[in-house]
Amino acid sequence: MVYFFQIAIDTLVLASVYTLIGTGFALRYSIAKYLDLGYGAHIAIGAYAYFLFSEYFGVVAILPAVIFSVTVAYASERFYFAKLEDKKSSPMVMMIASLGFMTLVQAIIAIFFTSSVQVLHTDASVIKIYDVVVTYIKIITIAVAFSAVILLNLVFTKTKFGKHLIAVSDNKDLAQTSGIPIKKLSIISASIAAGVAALSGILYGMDTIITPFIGLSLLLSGITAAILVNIQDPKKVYIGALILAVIQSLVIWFIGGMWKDAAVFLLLIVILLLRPEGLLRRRGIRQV
Amino acid sequence: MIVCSIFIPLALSLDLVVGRTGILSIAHAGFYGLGAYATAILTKTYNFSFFSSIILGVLITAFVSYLLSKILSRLKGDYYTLGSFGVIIIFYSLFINLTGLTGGAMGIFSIPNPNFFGLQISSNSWFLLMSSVFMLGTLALMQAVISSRFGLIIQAVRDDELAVKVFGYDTASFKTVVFVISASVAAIAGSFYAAYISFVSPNAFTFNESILILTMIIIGGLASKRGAVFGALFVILLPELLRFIGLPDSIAAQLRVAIYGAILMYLMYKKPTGLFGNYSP
Amino acid sequence: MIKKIAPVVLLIALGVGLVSFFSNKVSNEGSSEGYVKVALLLPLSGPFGGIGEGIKNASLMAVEDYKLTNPNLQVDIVVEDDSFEVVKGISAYNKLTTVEKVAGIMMISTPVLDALHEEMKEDGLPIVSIGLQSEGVGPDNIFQTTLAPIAPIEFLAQFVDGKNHQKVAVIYTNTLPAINSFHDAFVQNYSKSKASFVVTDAQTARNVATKIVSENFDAVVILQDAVAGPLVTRELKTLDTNNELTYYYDLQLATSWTEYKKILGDTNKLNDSYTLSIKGGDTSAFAQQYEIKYGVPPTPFAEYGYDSTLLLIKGYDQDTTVWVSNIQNDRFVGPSGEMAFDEDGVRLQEIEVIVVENGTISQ
Repeated sequence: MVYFFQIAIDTLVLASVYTLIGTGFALRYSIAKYLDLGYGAHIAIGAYAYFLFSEYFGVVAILPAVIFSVTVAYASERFYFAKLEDKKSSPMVMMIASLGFMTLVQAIIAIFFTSSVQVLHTDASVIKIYDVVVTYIKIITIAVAFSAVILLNLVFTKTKFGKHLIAVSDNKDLAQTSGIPIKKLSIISASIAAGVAALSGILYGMDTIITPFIGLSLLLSGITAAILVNIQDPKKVYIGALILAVIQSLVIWFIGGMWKDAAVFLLLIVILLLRPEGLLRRRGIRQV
Repeated sequence: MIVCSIFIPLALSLDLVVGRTGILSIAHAGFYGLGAYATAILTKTYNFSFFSSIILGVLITAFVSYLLSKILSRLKGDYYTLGSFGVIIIFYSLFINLTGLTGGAMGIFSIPNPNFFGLQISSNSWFLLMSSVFMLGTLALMQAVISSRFGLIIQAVRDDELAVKVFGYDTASFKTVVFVISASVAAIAGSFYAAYISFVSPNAFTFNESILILTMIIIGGLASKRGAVFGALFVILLPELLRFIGLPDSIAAQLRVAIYGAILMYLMYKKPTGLFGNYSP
Repeated sequence: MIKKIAPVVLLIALGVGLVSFFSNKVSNEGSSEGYVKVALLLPLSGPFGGIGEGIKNASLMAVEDYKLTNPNLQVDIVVEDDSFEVVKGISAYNKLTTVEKVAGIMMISTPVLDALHEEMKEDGLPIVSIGLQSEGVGPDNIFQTTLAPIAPIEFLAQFVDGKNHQKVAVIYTNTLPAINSFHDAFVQNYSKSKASFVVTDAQTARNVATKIVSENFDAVVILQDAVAGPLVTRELKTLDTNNELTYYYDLQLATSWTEYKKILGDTNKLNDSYTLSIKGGDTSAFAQQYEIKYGVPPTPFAEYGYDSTLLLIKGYDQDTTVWVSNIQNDRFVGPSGEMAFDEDGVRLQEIEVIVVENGTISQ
């Protein structure tokens, strides 16, 4: 029975990581409306920035690492992606461009840090709660995700910024004519998303390991989590993340690790067939 | 060279779906893989001839793609893309886990050389001839499809599906037919791949391959045969060109990948319709 | 502007491609009196990039060391990247044989070797591969410097058989061809109760570890690569706080020791585990030399890179047949152990089962 809780905790940790990534992605997608694969790059940037900085600053390096990632996101958004959008580039073009960005970033990281696996945190101290083994990192990860969700949800619903986000997400042109500064909003939301991504990369890396390529696989998990619920609603991503993590754990336990990915996507396709816009459709205006 | 003549049809067939019909599918490499495994398994284990394995491969792929198209067509826009992504993940899982059939990660070896009415095709030159015929055949097919009434309709679907529906056309069927044709061509390309490399393994048919083919037509330009051909040549030959440029050894390989990413970014910025594209999606 | 330049660039590329496709593969240029040009065909990008990089470094070290005692032979090294992928490997091989005209190749990527072995036999260049050749192994110009995979696993299976465990968990990675064959070999040769688990990444490592601990297995056999192996070990050790499990490792523990150290942090965690080990390979001097030169400890298989390249160069003779036969018959002791081949050109090495003590596996 103890092992049920063990798996539950581990699933929760994974769900936390997915929540962070998915929320950031949904935030980005609701404004940008294209599959920004480059988002995965920020996960890796954050993780490796921490890897670098922590040699000098220890754990405190989280902050500069996140800031670094946000800076990169800001710069790439302002000097490149926003310009592409100005040219009215299609979503497919944006996606390819973001793919180019991610490929570039991954390669640069591999040049500087080699493509070997790196470890971020070797403090393996565990605490046992009624025979369930948890490391500090696991607890912190869950806590961070939890707080992030609450915090972001508050921001989205209570602040002017949040209301602007919803407006732009629903109808960009209308929002523009109402005087909402779309470009600024886009850049800010991209930066927030990048910060969240970086954080998730760091936490994940502390819990396990990092390679220059973790960005892509974690990103896809995050996207799946977001889609399951509603890709444009960053507030509810955690539900999708939980479902995703639970399904994965169940599949690994009962069927075997090799079918994990296939099962997840099969589930995704099935759910999308039944509810084409995610389990929790956005109230009101339908997006295509 | 032979690789080019395999990838050009792949690019052309994907362009049919993406460029002409406006459907963004990432599952393409899966059909490529299906054809490759069909040929691998049939010619090696069951002693089929190369050509009959192609036919069987096409039949299987056509059937599978038909089903998939029906399923995926219920999804809209980006969801379709993500659904197609899911499809290729599932293909990969099947390829790598069904070890009894596909040999799993170990793959299938020593796929026999094709036998053309008794003539063993073992030299590269003969094979190039065969695959060039295939490539030209695909070009001709694409030309025929695009300039036919059918082709006009699917391009109209791309531009304004609603309008086409209003005229009474069952757009879903048209999309399905396009999808199946495209997948079948990919399957034949896969058969050639299997026979040429004489070894198939799941790692040749991942999401990365799909993205590679997509990149080819984006760079070359959508809705353009010239674009697809050029894009395919460009993407395949670029790393080879870079290989010739001397770069500091220790980081040469990764630097090539980085340059590739940078070129993608640059091209998207400067010429998003691609080099020869007729359509900006 | 682009529209004008691009077709030109493309034509050049096509031209290069056609030239290399149709040109002769006579490799006279790569070898002449007192001069030889050999290639290192390695994964330098992609997931195995780190491993390829380390092998390359070790190989260059080997060349330098060799030159110290043999200043009369000028050795040129050409490095190409195959990313562990078939298509890239094939184009690299073509470039090496037609344009660079190398006289010999050291490589590792199994899929590339598998796809090319027919052609390599035809071309006749001495090929020294660290990675295993899955099919078509025979007396020819292709040599494999790691062990034939099956025999050590059979040995391990028999060893574990003798220990009379109740329930054994066999953990492996099914996405790597070599490990798949290890798994099959073990399962066929182990006669008692067992169950297999696939671990491919950190998440599966964790869940599988929990499952194993919850189902009261008394031993685990870990047949995994340099990343999944340490991960699953770490997860198991975290859960198995009373040390109820007996751990068994195949040769990959020894070859990936640096990765285990990196990921586990403290190799004393591996104490009392059993592992296959190759008799006589002393990597410590090599590791020191490598670390002094490159600033980091050697990555997995680096010592095989050293020995393989050394082997290739040592045997050099302008007559390719003599060169191949020199390699076949060469005997020396390098950091990967004693170099000797069976009649098919596959490495012979004595293996034994040892116990990890004091956080090391050196004897």
